Amino acid sequence: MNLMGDGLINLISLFFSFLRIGAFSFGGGYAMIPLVQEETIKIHQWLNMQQFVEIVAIAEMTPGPVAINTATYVGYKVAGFWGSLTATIAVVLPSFMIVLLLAKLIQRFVASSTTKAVLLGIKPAVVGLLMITIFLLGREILTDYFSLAVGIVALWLLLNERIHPILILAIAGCLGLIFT
Amino acid sequence: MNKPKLISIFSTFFKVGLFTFGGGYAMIPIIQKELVKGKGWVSEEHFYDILGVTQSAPGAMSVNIAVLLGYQILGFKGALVATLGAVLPSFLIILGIAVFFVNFSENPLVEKIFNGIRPAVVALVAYAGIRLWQRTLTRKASYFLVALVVILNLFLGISPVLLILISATAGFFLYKQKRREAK
Repeated sequence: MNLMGDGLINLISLFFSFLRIGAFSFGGGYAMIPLVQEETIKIHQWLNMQQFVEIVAIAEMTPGPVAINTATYVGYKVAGFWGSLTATIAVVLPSFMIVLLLAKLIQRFVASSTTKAVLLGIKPAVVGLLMITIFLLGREILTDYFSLAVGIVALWLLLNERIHPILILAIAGCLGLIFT
Repeated sequence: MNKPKLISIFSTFFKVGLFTFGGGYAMIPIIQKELVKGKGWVSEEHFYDILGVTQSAPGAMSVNIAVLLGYQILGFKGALVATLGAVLPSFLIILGIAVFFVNFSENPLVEKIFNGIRPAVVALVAYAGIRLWQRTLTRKASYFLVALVVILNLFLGISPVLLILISATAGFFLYKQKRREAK
């Protein structure tokens, strides 16, 4: 078995996957999830849907953006410490370079009607992709009465009671411990 | 104002990175408190200009803010150090969890806890989706684009990256054109 070769190939595919995630995810936060899902589940099968959701939960409970947390975690799972370092750098690199470039032309860029038009076009795509992800997640995770009940009550609490997401995850974890 | 040292830029963003749960918008008040009110490195007015740029660039917002503010404060070095500071806390924490989790995810107790957490995560993502929908879909054409993206991805399997590029182009022609007509 050629460990050296496989290791290098893993690092390279991690790098380019997370580079794409970093470069094409607009809107930040959960808006990045569809791209992460596409790269890590659909294209590379580094994770299954259950593991993916677990990482999102861990990302929510720890500081830092979901995309970076996922990069670090998936990178470690695929290729150990060097994998996590590679994926994390790759996901940050596009923002770093693009924002640095924009820093030099701040006013012109923000005020530009081209920028505004392009972003107005991207926003609905981000919403659409997120809707698909929610549908796929729901279909995969909400498969029994317990999960369905937890999901619906949690969403209701978020929408109407503004309870902190981490508190909701903690309560849901306790319910899982008791009822499953 | 004294010229800030690299190490104090690093430690400030490290602190921001360490205490930002939920990412993105949750960190704005923390950054504002630390850098605008606390250190006075950036003026209030300038801070809002910066937010505009970070929202229009791809990637995690906290990283974008760190790059931009770091650059404003101390040029390229400042940007590099600020980014490192903002990313390092989550990198170290997740690395620790990953090392632990690879060994404990099979544990029946952990498995039970995640049986409860998984559906709650679906709710969190759905909530984020609903909020994003309410915040961003303000024009009639937006709904058409949402439907188009859903159909193209779900039924024709067109990749998210390509869809982002297509919709950016659509936005360019749709809205750029309209503005000219209005004049």
